[in-house]
Amino acid sequence: MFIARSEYDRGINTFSPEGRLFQVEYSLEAIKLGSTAIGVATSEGVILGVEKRVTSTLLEASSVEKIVEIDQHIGCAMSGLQADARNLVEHARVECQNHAFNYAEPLRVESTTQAICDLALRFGESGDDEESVMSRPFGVALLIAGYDEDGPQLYHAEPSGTFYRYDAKAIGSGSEGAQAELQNEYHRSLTLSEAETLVLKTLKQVMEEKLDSKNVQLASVTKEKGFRIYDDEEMGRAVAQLGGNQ
Amino acid sequence: MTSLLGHPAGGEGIGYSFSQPTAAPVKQHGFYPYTDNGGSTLGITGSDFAILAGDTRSTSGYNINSRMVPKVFKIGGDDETGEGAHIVLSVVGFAADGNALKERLDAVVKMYKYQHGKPMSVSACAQRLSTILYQKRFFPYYVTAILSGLDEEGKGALYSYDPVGSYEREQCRAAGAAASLIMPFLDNQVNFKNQYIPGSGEGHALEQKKAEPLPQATVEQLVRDAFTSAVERHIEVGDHLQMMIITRDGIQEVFHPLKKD
Repeated sequence: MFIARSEYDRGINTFSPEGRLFQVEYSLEAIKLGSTAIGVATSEGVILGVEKRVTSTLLEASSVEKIVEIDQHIGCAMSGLQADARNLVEHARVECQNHAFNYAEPLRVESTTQAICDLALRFGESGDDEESVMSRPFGVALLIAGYDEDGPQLYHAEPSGTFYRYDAKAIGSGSEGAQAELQNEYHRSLTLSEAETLVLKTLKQVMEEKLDSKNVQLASVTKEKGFRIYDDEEMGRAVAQLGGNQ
Repeated sequence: MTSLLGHPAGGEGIGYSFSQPTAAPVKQHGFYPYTDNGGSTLGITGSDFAILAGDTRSTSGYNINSRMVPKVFKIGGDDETGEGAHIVLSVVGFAADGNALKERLDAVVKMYKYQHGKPMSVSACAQRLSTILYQKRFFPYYVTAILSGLDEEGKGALYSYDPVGSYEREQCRAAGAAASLIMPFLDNQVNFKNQYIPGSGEGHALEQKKAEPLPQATVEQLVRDAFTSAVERHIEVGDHLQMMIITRDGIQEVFHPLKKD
C-alpha cells in the first residue's frame, strides 16, 4: 500500500486541501495491521476476545497481553501498537482511581472512554504552557468493556479521538470479515456463554493460525464479578465447548 | 566606672537618650485572615425529606454586619435561582470562606453533570466536599459545613463536616455559634436520648425510647423551636430563619422571622 507522500504528511495537525489529517488516517491503517480483537455486549455482560499471534514456539504465550484491566468494572482489548496502548490504559486507570477517590463511586464506562479519547487527541506540537505530548497519534484502537449503572457496555475508541458504543465490534486485521460475521450472528437475547462462543467462532474464522486455548484470550465483564480475564482452565473449557458446537 | 564602649554608664553623668542604646521593641507581625461571622445552622432528615436551616444574621464581634446573609445554598442548580438543584449546602463560621466553598462545590457539581451526563448523587457530592476541604488542610476553609439531599433510595441524607473534611452521615446536626445549645435539644427530640418508656422496667432500669424518622411537620416545628430558643440565649443568632426543605418534588425555601435584638 503506497500513498504518494505530500507536504501535508509533515505537520501532523495540518489539514490537507481535501480536509484530511494524513497522520491520523495512517494511524487507522496501523490498527488494520494489528491482531484481531472482538467484543460482544449482552444483557448479562460483555465478552472480549483477542487473537494472540504466537509467532514462535519459543514464545511464552502468557506474556502476550492484549486484554488488560482498567478498573474492577472495566477492561479493554487492544489492536495495533501495544506499547501505545499502555499510555492510554495507564491514563484510564489513573482517571478511574481519581474518580473513586474524589466521588466514592466507580467511573462510568462512557466517561472512562471519553478520558481515553481526550488523551488520544493530545498529539502534535505542544503549546507553550502544555506539558510534552505525543508527537504522533496513537497507533492503537481499544475495545472498552465495562459495567455501570446503565448495565453492560462496549465502546470502541480510535486514535482519531472518536468513540462509539457497539453491541458487537471487531477491530484489527481480521475486522472486516469478523464484523460481517457479527452482523449476521448478533441478536439482543444472546446469553453470556453464547457470546463467548460467538467471539471464539468469529475469531476462528479470521485467524490464520488454528485456534487453540493458547493463541486466543477471553475476558468478561459482569455485574457480579466485574472485569475478569479467563485463566488457562476457563480458556480450555471455552475452546473445548466451541469444538463441541462445530 | 566606664562601660566597655568608653561611654559613661547610664547611672553616671547626664544621660542623653540618643547616646543610650535602648533595646528595640520586639515587633510582632500579625496575619489574621479569618473572622468569625457567628450564626448557626441545623439539619434534620426524615424518611423521604431533609431539612437544612440557618439564621441569616452576620456579625463581627458585637456588631451586626447584616440581618440578611443566608448560610444555606442550593448546589448545582441550572440558573442563578438554583432551580433544578437537588443538593443543599450550609456553611457557618467565616462567611467569606463559606461563600468561596459554596461557589467551588457548585461549579464542581455542574461540571460533573456535563462530564458524566447524570446528576451527582448526594453521596458522591459528600465525598467530593471532603476532598475539597482536605486539599486545604494547612490553610482551611474556616467553616463547618452540612450537606443534605435525598439518597439513592429517596431517603433524607445529611452529611456533617469539620473544617478539614472529616465527615459522617447523620440523622441530625447543629453547627455554628449555637451548636452547643441546639445539639442536646436534637439528641433528646430527634434521637430520643434520655427518653424512657414508662413502666418498661424496674426502678431506673427502663427501656430507651427507640428513635425513628419523624414526620415533616414535626421536624419543621423542631427547627423553628430550636432557633427561637437559640436566639434567646445567643447574641450572634437572630433576625431570620432560612429553611430549605428537600423532597422528591424539589427544594422549597422558606423564611421565618426571628427576634432582631
